[in-house]
Formats: sequence, structure tokens, C-alpha cells
Amino acid sequence: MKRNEIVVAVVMITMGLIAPWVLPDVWTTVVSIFCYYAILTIGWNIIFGYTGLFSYGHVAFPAIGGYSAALLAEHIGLPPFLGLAAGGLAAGGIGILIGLLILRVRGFYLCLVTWAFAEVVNVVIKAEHQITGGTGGYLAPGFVSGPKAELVGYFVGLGLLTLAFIASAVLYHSRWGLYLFAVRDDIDAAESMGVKTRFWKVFGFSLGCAVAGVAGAFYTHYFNLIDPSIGGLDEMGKVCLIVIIGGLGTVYGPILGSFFVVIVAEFLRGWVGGYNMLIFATIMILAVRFVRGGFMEIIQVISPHLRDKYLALIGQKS
Amino acid sequence: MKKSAVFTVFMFFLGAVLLPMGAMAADTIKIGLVTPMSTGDFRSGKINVRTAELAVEELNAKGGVLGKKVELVTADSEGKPAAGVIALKRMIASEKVSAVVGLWHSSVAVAQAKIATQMQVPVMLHYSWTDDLTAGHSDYIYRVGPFNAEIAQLALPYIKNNFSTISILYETNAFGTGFAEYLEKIAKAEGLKVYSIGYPQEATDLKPQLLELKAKSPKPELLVIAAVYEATNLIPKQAYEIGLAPGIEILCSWDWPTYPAFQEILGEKGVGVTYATFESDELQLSPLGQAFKKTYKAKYDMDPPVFALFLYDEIMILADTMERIQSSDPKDIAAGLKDTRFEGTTGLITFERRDEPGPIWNQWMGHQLFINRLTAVEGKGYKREQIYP
Amino acid sequence: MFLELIIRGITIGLVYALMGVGLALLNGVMRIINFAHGEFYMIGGYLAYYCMTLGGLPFFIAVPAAIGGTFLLGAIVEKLLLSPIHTQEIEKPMDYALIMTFALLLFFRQLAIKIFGPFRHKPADYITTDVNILGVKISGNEALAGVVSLLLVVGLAIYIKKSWRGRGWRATTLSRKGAKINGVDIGKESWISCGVACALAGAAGALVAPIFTLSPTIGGSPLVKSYEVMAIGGLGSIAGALAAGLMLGVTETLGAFYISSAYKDAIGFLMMAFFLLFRPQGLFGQK
Repeated sequence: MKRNEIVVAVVMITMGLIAPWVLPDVWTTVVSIFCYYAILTIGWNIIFGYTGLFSYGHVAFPAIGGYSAALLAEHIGLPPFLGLAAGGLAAGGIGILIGLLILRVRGFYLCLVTWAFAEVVNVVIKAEHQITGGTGGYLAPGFVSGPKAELVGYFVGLGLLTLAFIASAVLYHSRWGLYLFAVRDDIDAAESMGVKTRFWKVFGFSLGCAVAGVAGAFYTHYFNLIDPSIGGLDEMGKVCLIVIIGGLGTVYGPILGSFFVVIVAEFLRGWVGGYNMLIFATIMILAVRFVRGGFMEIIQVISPHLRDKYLALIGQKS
Repeated sequence: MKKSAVFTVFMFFLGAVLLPMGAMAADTIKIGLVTPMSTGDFRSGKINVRTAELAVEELNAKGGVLGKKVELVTADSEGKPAAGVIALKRMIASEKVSAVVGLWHSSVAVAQAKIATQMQVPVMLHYSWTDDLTAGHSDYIYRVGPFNAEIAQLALPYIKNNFSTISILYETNAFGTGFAEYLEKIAKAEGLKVYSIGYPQEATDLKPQLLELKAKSPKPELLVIAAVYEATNLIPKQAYEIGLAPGIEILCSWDWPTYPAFQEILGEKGVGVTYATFESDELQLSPLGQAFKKTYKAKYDMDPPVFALFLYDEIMILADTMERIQSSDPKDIAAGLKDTRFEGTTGLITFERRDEPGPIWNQWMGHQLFINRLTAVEGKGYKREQIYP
Repeated sequence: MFLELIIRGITIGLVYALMGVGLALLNGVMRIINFAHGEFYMIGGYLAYYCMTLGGLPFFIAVPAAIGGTFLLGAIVEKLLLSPIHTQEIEKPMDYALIMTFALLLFFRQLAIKIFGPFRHKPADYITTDVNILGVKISGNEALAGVVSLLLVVGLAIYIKKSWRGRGWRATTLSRKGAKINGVDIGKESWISCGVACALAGAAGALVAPIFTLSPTIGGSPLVKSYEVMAIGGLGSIAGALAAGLMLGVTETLGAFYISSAYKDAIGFLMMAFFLLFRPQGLFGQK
């Protein structure tokens, strides 16, 4: 890991540790939601940012992870901390299967096929309502019971986010990461150089799915509930938005993007009540239309100096 | 690189400073309303908001509560458990409300109720039907509205005396599934044949399920609809379109046929539809109820559905309790609500607690079920007659 | 019962085809994903409704008015918000379109909730009598929707085949550069084809308004069906979209009855996935 990344990780952890005692109560929940989206998006960043696979069905995997954790907790008494692992394994396992299935599909078609998969998962969840609780959702136990439950959940989320961040940073700089980038940037050249592109495609895809599964399991045990809305199309839109704002294929992208989408959205909600979605959409439209450089252009407006630092931070040349 | 970290920290604390700016002066008593406003069943949510606003206006016109103005704070639950939980938490933590009303979707309410109990703020349910909500025996959950087991039991005599084969179409959430399962159980115990089909709550095309029922043998004589979302008006309409109706009695599980949209969508075909409700023309609404009904109708050009009456009751009960115990502290209110004796819009409201496991805890048991039939189109609505009891 | 299901399937299939054709056109000429396609369906429905209730117009004027209205809206949206895709060097046009159209979906939906209100609406029946087809009774509205959808799809097909503009669109679908060289003004064709695509969605919405009724959130399902039709039929093929729409409509209706009503929506997705995996060019599309 680069020195920058270690510093950022430490800063994040420190702020996260003191936050509950410094900020108003409700921020514990908001930051936990931020953790969920950040982890989920780290997963998608690995799939699309690193490996170049445009999966539009990503949000099916937190659903798979979350329902696995909830159902196992209910039927075999699996403790929530193991539920996290179970969620990750279930999602990762299915990710391997799907990954193999879509090996030959590219570009726009890949987007549609993965979307189809996510929607089928949704239909199954709703149709088998005797097992899954249908649209009403399914209850799940928290990490611990009692009044400290929320705080413990918050720290679990923070911990998972830190792990995911470190893992994605290590991957970024490692040889494995290079293989993934090769698949993304020029798969034919990589193939001719002897890289086992098919293996790395499936690896990148299923790893991202597994991370998403863990995010879903976390969500389930944090809110004590999972429902099909977690796998909805608007959730997928949020993930795309987060990564595009934060920077695709970078290590910090998911964190920065989630920060903007989750925390800024909470601001709006607090101020303008029922109009917040409309305003959010309007801002998105205007921002995308007129700030073509995205987040980087906003930074540039503030300070060109800052922009260079930002680029250096994310490891790109200006 | 430090600048980016500083930037982030700055944003964090900016948030911490700005966020509480929502809260206003501490010289008012705040009642929170968390209900779907932008997605989910925001139709009913809108009615909840209107009812609550009316109630609070009335309270303030009479001088407020404990000498202070009453302020209604609203938040959008979006019909989703996660959003509903956050909205509730925000409301309790930032706005410091004395109590929360308006919870709607059963599934969302279950998650919210847990939080309210944890955060020790009383929540009053006016129309969330799932038994689970009061079955937890929390000291902070009070229900003025009915619950699934109760409703099914009250409707059973009508059903078993008139039909031998029935069908139930229900939404697969806590409200629909709970109601359908309970009704199926007690109907079967009486020897009736029951077909029960669930569907996802956002579904708008129910023809496949209706075609399935049409092909059943023996043919169902009654179609009970347990719905709250879009399907409420679409199911009767589509039943006609595929030929299941006429030829089957339609019983709506609550009084949505009184909404203007029902007539717009069904028109003449709406005649003959029956629905269950908890107030009737024969049961005299109390003066309080009549006054509220008049005010609501004058302002919004439609009769308030029965759940609006319960919500109105709840806000009035809160005011009454606060005056009684001379406090607006949530914990005190939760304890004080226990001893409520309030002349509500449909009857005297008290809260019962039964020590056995079950949903009768802080629950008003004074509901009476009536079944009305729409008899003829009249203006923007229908004429109706009571057919049960 | 079987015949009834087939007839119902065909009727709804024609409407699916209409939605899918519009999307295929937009995708072919502009090469973007459009998440807001379903919202134009919703807007078309509301335009027809308000023309009838507020304007007092009969349905055969209200529906064309709705179509015209959505055409205009689509063209304006393209000109203002989507044109950067071909006028400027946007690094990742797909990303841009993704976010922009997703934001438009949210925007239109929320705006509709605020303006049209949350309660469901329904315009008066366009045709009040029922129609009897081969012994199966379907409502006049449904028959009308099916017939008009068919006419619009066929009409578009003829236009694309015969007119200069239509050929320009086909050329653009095959090769942008080639089309440009041959004098196709990509900018102009973009807003026109976008307008037409949205108009087709609006037409579908206006036609089925008395059947499925109106609500601000009805755009979700048509969006999904449009993509299914496009994927099954093949990009850039109108005959494909028509065939795909019919196939989807009939298979869904049959499957929902004979297999399971709860899994009805999965049928379309599975069909789409099957084609994308094993026959990406769809029924009649080019590879």
C-alpha cells in the first residue's frame, strides 16, 4: 500500500472512532449507511473499475448475501458475525457461476444480461414469499442485543469498510491487480502475453460480488431487517453515481463518491422534506450537464493546486 | 494530500453544525409524523399528513397543550424499512418529539417500532395491521387501530354465513400475509374452502393471478382483497376484464372504495363491490368524529377514510394525556397513555393489556366491523348501504 | 382458455413492441442507454388524460396530442441535455447517458408525483364496447391499443425503409462515421430520432391509459419490457422488435397461467438473458 493510502485509512479510522461521541446521534446511522454503500461500491469498483466488466446487476449480490445471512440466522442459528462470512461466500459463489456464464459477453450486452440476472433474483425473492417474507422483508438478529446494539453495529461497519478499503488498495498495487487491469484495458494483448484472462475475469467478478455480499449481510444485521428494495434498480443507479462522482477505477473513488451521495443526500432530506428527491435529481442533471469533468472539475474550480494534489493522490498524472 | 483529508474532516463538521439547524425553538410541543410521502403508499400518506395537520391546527386554535403551541414535524418513510428507520431516528434525535404517529406500512413499522422502544419514545399506530407490532409487548407501542387477527375474526361471521368457497388475494408483506394467513386459518376451521394467492406489493398486473382463480374448481364465490398499494383499484377492474367478475362477490379489506379514484377507475362496475370499515352511518360518530369529518370534507372534498379518524383520535389522545400528566416528556407520556379513557371519534378508547402472549398489549379492542356495499353511482362517489351486521 | 391467453398475449405484445421499437431506434442512432424511456410512457398517458378531462377533447384527438407532446419533450430533452454526446468530446458517453437518463427518470417521476398527485387516474374509456375476437371477449380499449400499436410500428418500418431520413438512421446505426460522410447531420437526426422514440413511448402510454390506469410510477415496468424487446429482437431491427414484442407478450401470458403467476416478470428476463448469452444479435438484428 502506498503511504498516502495508509494515512487516509488511519485518518478515516480515527474520525470514525471519535465520531459517535462528537456528532449528534443520528449520524451513527448515517455513517453506517455510508459504510454500506462504500463497501458495496468498492465491490463494484473491482468489477468495473479494475476488471472492466460493466455489471448492471451488482445490487443482486447484497440481496443474496443479506438474505443468506438472515435465513441462516433464523433456521440454523448462525451468529451474525459468521453471517457476514456466509453472505460473502454465498454471493461470491453465485458470482463465480454467473462470471463463468458471461465470459463471452461484452459491453452493452453484458450490462443487459447482468441486469436481467438481478431482476430475476428480485422476482424470486418476491415470489417465494413463504421463505423470504416477500416484499415485507425478513427479520434478522443484530450483532449484539441491548442498548449498545447500534454502536456495535456502527463499529462493525467501520471495521468492514477499513478492511475492504485496505484490500482494494493492496489489490490495486499488486500483481493480481495488474492482471485485472490487463483484462480491462486490452484483453487480446493480455491473452497473447499468456495471461489467463478467463480466470481473472471470473476472479475479479466474483471477488466484487463477494464484497457486495458482505455489505448486504452487514446491512441486514445492522437494520435487523432485509427487504427486496436493496436489490432495486434505483440502488444500482446510486452505485453508478457514486463511482462516477468519486472516480472510476481509483482506490478512493467509492469512499469519496459515497460521501457525496449518502451524506449530501441526508443534508437535503433534512432541509427540504418531500422535495429532496426532486432537488437531488435536478442537481444531478445540472451537474452532469455542465460540469463535464465531474468531480475533478469542481476541484479545479476551487484550486488548480488542489487538483494536482488530488491527481497525485489517486495516482494519476495530470 | 493533507488537503484532501482536511477537506473531508471539514465536511464532516460542517455537517455536524448544519444538521441541528433543522430543530426550532424549544418552546413548542412537537409531535412527529413519519409516513410514506414520496414512494410506497404515499396516497394514504398524504391523507395522514392532512389529518394530522388538521388535528394540530385544532389543538392550537384551542390554546395548544400545556400552554404551548403544538408543532407537527413530518418525515418521509418512503415505504422502505431502512428509510423509515432513519426518518424516525432523525425525528427523535434531532427534533426531540414527544411522540410519533402516522406509521403506516406494517413491515416498515415493525422495524421502526423496535427503534422507538429502544429510544424510549411512544409510537401510536392507527392502521398498521400486523399482529407483530403489539405482540412484542413494548411499553412504548400503542395501537388505536385494529390488527389482523381481530379484523379477520370480526369479518368471519359475515363470510361463513354467506359463502362456502372463498379466495384471498393479498400483498406479500406483513399486513397482507398476516391477514390472509389468519383469515385462511379460521375460515378453514369453519369448513370453508379457501384459495389464497399472494403477490408482490408493487404489482400492477394481477391478471395472471385472477385467471388462475377463474380456472379453479369449485369456483370461488368471494374475492377478498388485502391490498394497500396500486393493486387496490386494479384488482376489481382486472377481475371484470378477464371475466371473473361479475359472478364473484368482491370484498375489499378496508374502505378504499370511498376514495374518488375508485369511481374514476371503475365507474359503473364499482356498483356491487363491498368493503369492510370500522364506522357506519348507523353507528353514530361521536360529536368529535362528526366535526372532524365535516372539516375534512370541507377542506379536501372527500370523506376521510376510517383510518384518518383513528389518527385524529391519536393526536387528540396525546394532547389529552399530556394535559393529564402535565408533562410532554416521551417516557412520561408512554406511561401515562396506559390510563387513557378518551371519547374518540368512533367510541370510548382505552388500552387493554392481556398478560398472555399475543398482540393484545396497549391495544384498543373497541372496534366494530361493518360491511358496506356500493349500490349506485352518485356524483363523484357512490351511494352505499350497510349489509353487515 | 388457451385461445384467450394467446389473444391477450398478442394484444399486450403489440404494445411491448411499440415501446421496444422506440428504444431500439434511440439506441441505434444515439448509441446510448436511456433509463427515462419509461417516463415518457407515463407522460404520454397523463397528457392524454388531461387533454380529455381538462381540455374536453375526445380520445382520437387527445391521443395524437399526447404523441405530439411527448415528441416535443423528447426533442427538447435531447437538444438541451443529451446533445453533448455528439457535439463535444465526452470521454465516456455511455457513463454520461447513464447518469443523465437516470437523473431524468428520477426528475420526471418526482415531478409527476408533485404535479399530478399520488392518486391513480383513468381517462374515460376510449371505446366502451367489448370486442369479440374468435370467441374471446376483450375490451374495446385493448383492441384499439393493439391495432394502433401495430399501425405505428408498421408505419415506422415503412418510413425507415423508404424515406431519406429513415435510411440515414439505418446508416447511423451501422456506422456513424459512414453516415456522417454521406451527409447525415448527426446532431439533427439525434433530436429527431429521440423525439420519435419518446413519441412512440408516449403513444404506448396514451393508448393503454384507460386499461392500466395512470400513476406517477407506472414508467418502471415499460422500461424493463422495452429493453427485453430490444434485446430479444436485436438492435436496429424493427421487424425484430415486433416479433420480440409478440413473443414476449404471448410467452408471458401463457407462462403466467400454466407455470406460475408469481414468476411472470422473470419470464421476460430469462428470455432476454437467453438471447444475450446465446444469440446476441437477437431474432433479426445484425451482429
